[in-house]
Amino acid sequence: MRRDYAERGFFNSNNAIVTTLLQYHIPLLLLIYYAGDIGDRTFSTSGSMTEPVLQALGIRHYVMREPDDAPELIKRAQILAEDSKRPVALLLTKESLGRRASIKSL
Amino acid sequence: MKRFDCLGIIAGAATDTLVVTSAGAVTLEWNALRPSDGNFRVRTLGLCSSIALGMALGLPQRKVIALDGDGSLLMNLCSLPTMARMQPSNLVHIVFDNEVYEASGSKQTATATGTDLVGMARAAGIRQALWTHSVDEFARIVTEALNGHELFFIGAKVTTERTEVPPYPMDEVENKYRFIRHVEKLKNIDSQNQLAK
Repeated sequence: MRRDYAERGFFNSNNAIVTTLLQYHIPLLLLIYYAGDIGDRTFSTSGSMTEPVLQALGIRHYVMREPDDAPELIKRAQILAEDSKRPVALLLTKESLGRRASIKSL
Repeated sequence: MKRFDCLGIIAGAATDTLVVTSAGAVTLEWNALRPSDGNFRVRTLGLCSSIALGMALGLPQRKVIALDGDGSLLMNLCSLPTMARMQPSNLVHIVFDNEVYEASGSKQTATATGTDLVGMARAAGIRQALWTHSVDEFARIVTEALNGHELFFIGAKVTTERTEVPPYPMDEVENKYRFIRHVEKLKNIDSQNQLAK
């Protein structure tokens, strides 16, 4: 099973993540927007909370920066989720979503 | 109406239906009336409707019943437009509205001061959204819903009376595996062979 989240969607989903995914040992690949990254003019405050919250929940997470890495990272994260019976998160930067930021435009 | 009486009617009509129950006494009462590996117990307020919706969409050939409460649904009202949008013809969403948060001291919910859950379901786009006002009417509507091929939302105003029943006989992880094996059996899936592939 796979789900997409903006980072605030992830925060809103915390009740479900704790009381269903973690409590029932359900593997799930979480795809979360890596908001507040360097060069990102939006969501710096909420974005700075994403990794600490994942850490507190004990959810392994990995930052994906290159779109070309997606197939392999998704495959590996899915394997870890299924093996550990826990959610695993991939944090997707703008670049990885195909919206490459121009250095000149920053 | 008394919730236990309503549950007894469902148990008589839904002998092998997959049933998702909300956190609270409704789960224990339901399991006492119809113990089955086809019961999935939700452990938090709010998610009964969403989990049942996912189950109904994932198992379109099977009827799925959600046994929800007012306090629970009020915590996840956005599930109503999602259900209406997806229109799963195999989902029957039943809400026992006792107007209190029963498990945490029976403080009033918003339905005690006029919030109309059936009205909200209808406004969200669920055509078959109905209040039932007596046990006989509840039995008639539940039978219609279980025999029909349309999304139903059934409201039942019930008393706060609880029935003494045994505690739930398993933890949530065992519940998950037993439920999954039950569904695999229904669908004739061999999970060990699936894993081997």
